[in-house]
Amino acid sequence: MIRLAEVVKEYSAPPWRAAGGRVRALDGVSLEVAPGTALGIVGPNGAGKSTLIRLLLGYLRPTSGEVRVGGLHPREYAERHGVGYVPESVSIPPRWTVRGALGAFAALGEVPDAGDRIDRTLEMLGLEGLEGRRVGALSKGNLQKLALAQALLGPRRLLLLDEPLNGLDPVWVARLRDVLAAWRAEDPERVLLLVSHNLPEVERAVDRVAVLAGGRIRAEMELRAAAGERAWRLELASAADGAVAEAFPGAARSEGGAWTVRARDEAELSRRLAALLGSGARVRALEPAGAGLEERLHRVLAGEEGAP
Amino acid sequence: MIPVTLRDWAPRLLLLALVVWALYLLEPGFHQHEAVEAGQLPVEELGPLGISATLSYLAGLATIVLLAGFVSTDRRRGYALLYLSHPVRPLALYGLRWALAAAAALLAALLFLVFGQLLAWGGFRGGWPGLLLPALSVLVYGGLMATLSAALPRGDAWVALALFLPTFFPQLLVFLETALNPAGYRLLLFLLPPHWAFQEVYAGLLEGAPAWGAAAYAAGYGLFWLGLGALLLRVREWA
Repeated sequence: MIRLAEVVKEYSAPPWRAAGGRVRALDGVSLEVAPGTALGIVGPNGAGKSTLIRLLLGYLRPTSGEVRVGGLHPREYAERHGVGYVPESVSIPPRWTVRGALGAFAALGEVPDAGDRIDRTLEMLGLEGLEGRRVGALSKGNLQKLALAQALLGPRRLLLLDEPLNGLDPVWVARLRDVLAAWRAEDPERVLLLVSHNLPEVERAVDRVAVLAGGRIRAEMELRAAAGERAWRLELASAADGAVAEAFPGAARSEGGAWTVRARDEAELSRRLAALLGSGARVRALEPAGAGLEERLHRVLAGEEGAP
Repeated sequence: MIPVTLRDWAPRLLLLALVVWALYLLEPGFHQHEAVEAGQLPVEELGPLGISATLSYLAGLATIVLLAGFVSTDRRRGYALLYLSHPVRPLALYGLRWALAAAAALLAALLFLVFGQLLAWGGFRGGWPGLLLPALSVLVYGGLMATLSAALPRGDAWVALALFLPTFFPQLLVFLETALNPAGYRLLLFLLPPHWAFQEVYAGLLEGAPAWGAAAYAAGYGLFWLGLGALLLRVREWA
């Protein structure tokens, strides 16, 4: 679906800024994203993440190398099929109303059954009560939701989200996870690219992560293990050690006393957790082992872990 | 997108209404009691074609006002990033806005021609061929706006207004002729909107012998800048 081959992107300062010189934002990036993949792109500020996204939309052209989306030049792909996109900094004409903005984007995208889709998208993102409000009067979180709404309005196969969690409260961060999961479930060929500094959320939403730093891909990490398992951090108020091992074979105890347990999906996790609770254990906390990605990212950035 | 664009234009259309009113007050053909400069044809003898110069000013100003920032604002404020992620070609999106502005400017000229006469003279005396001048004006200033808005980050309308100024103040050209060397002045005349062509077309209309050569030159000038604007839309990066 997406292929970047040795992509270099340099920005030139305008001629009247003599001291500006050239800035190399991407320095030989090669990346392949197969249909059906959810890829996270993480890395420090200035790593080239937004440049990468804008190359995929054809807003920028590579200085050298090749970018293809669906076998086409990115601009050609966007003009033919459209891309769901939320930019890092959302900008929509402030005089438009929420519904008017979605109507305009639906018209641009020639979205079929626009009225129904707008209604459903407004409901999905909790914007029903704000339909008549002007964009300029929206809070940052609601503006972000509106940007997400326009990205999800059309039947797109590619969704590019550049810091989509900016301004969202924790409840909506969790809701967005479900929204994205539902979007992916509608069509198994759909591709999601998520750029975010919120590593636990990236880990929850994607299958694979590319670490970008200094304009290069430093590492690619599969978050779903070969057997399709994910790790979770389980903190217990009380339980017999044997009960944990019985409910979660292979569970490992970490230094803080919490357990790292594994399950293929949330259904299996719930089933095993029910068995553990049935044995009399009491749970204090359960969360994806997000620290895993964070630790691995730090190791990659420190040069201790490289591309597989 | 047409209703959205028209809604977005509401404040500009109000500004345009003020321009129409000002031009109505300034049009000598509608106020024949005013003094006529020595050597000029008395305005009452010009007939309805005499107001075609004002129609041209109106169409030019309307085009500039309606197209102000039509690409540059989207690019500068980042609106284009969301618009163009949807399946739409920049040329189609901005071409539609351009065509709407051109249609609105011509409509303004047409309404001015009809209602101006009705208001001032109490009846409509004709003057349809005079619409050639506003059509050329739309093409010339619309073409310039297309290139300026696609090329500049801001200020496209101000530059176009500056280029429009010699229409009202021909003394500016006289000043530039004395300030520049002959080659520089010729180059400037070549780059500036072809005011001489408008004057020839206007004179031809009054004499009943349209100056098609001058009209073709003005149209070619506008089409050149329109084409350059379209090319810039294709080749310039959006972020």
